[in-house]
Amino acid sequence: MREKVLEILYDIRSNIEYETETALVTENILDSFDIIGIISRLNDEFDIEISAKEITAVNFDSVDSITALVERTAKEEAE
Amino acid sequence: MDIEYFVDCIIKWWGDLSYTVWMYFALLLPVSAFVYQITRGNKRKTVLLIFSWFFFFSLSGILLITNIITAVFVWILGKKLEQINSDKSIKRKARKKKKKKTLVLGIITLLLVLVVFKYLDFIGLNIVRITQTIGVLFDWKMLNIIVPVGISYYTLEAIAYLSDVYWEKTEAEKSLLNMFLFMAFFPKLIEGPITRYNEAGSLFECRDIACYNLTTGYQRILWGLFKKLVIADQIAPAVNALYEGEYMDGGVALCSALFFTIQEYMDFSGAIDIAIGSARIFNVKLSENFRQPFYAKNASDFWRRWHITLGTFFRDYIFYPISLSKNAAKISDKARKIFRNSFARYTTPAIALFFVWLSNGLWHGPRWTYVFYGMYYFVLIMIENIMEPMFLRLLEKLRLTEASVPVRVFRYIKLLFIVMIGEMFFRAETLGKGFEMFKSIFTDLRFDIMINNLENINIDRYGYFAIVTGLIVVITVETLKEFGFPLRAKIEALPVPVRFGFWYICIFAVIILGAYGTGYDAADLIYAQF
Repeated sequence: MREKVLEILYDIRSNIEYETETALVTENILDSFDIIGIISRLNDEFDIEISAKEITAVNFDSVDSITALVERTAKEEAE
Repeated sequence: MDIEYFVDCIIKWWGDLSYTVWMYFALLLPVSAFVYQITRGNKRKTVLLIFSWFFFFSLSGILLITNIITAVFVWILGKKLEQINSDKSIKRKARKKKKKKTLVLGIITLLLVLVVFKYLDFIGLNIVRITQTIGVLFDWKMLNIIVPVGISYYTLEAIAYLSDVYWEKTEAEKSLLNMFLFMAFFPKLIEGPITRYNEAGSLFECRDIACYNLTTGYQRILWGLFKKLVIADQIAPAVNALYEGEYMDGGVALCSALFFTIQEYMDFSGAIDIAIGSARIFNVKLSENFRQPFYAKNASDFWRRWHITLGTFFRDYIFYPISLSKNAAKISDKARKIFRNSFARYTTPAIALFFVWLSNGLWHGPRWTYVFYGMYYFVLIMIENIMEPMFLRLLEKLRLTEASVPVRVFRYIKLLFIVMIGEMFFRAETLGKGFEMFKSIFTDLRFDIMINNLENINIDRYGYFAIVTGLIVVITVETLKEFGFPLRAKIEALPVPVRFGFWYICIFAVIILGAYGTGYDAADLIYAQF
């Protein structure tokens, strides 16, 4: 799943070192258009529905936190 | 003495705006800090609340009741939302529906109150205009309702609080005293910064006033006063003279826009410095509202650095929810089928962004110039987002990067013009006047009139000296901050006599270079009217 998330992130913005970056939102590296683009692609790819309340720095600051969010949302929706 | 007469005297005395700023520093701030320090525990909250309500009452009189009722309403609704959240006897879907109803009720009520106070005449007059065009005679008697101080700010704080409780991002406040204080805390009352409830924790801690906070708080206030009195208030009469001038060519129009941009930034960011500094004295940390905005690379970036708390409010409570709504997803799907190219991905953000900038324009007040100001940024930011990939490809071909000096300089100049044009419309008396000014830049650009005007715009040599000196200081400080120079740490590391000497020079600079007396309205804060 992490690889797929990484692929989506590179599709949205290719000039970011996602493997090492841990402040994507905190440091304004990703803007709100990017965030919406990423969520839209994640929703389509993993058939989930990430809501606006999940858009926090904790959930979007790194590729790992985004992957964790996708896993958590998928799990919650399956219950 | 008759109590009513006494209250009336206080309102009249305090209500004279030219006194407000000085009374704020000479009376409200030191006396409240003293009483706060000699009390203990929860009583400190009561002290802050009494002073905050006194400040509100002195500015808006009996309208203080609107702030109190809003706090009670939001407090009750927050508890109700939390109660629904934790009621596991109701099914998840039904719970969500019930929660949503409560939230919608809360937001609509808060917005209705705002509309009644701020927009009723505007709506009425526009209905008259529309009905006249279709031949129906309808009259609107102006109500001229007095707007409670800070209503635009605390209404947004209330909406953010309810939404956060709805999303379970924050717990509902149990103490009504805390809610009263959150909604009325005097340093942020007039011009913000718009404070999120989950970031207001330090407000309820009521710690002792520490020497470090007292010092840094007053230093921040001094910095705010420098911006406001030395630059904004010195340039204010010139802005008024330029905008009220009979003939305006392109040069004067550009000059007016530049002067107003300087005035507005110095006035608003100075007021925010004063608010943050005042709050820091009580160990309360308020959010920053500006981050070197004129070093932004484009209009979107500018709004991430200018009036940050308003921008993040619209982003979190309008842009994201609309972008991720089911209706937006449906429209986006249709757009993908129609366009079948990369433009389709802009459909959803464009819809959301339209509402963000419409709200931003209207939030500033009931005027078409503000609505236009919002739409101006909506169009610019959409163009920027669509053009950005092309611009980056062009840079690649030219073997340049975003960090290259020519690219950065080009972007800074471009942004300054974008902001100036926006402010030109923002400050214009009417939208028509704004368009006239804009048109004159291209059709009637004569610098001789501008130079002639600069000699007759109520600024003497002394004024020019104060403004230019002030600007050099502010631009230097902002540049150092932008490039990460630890200015504060360097000042603090200075030997004590040098450090004291430095702060004395700063105090005297404000006293000597500041604009005072008749003709200058020291308390006429631009963003207090919004």
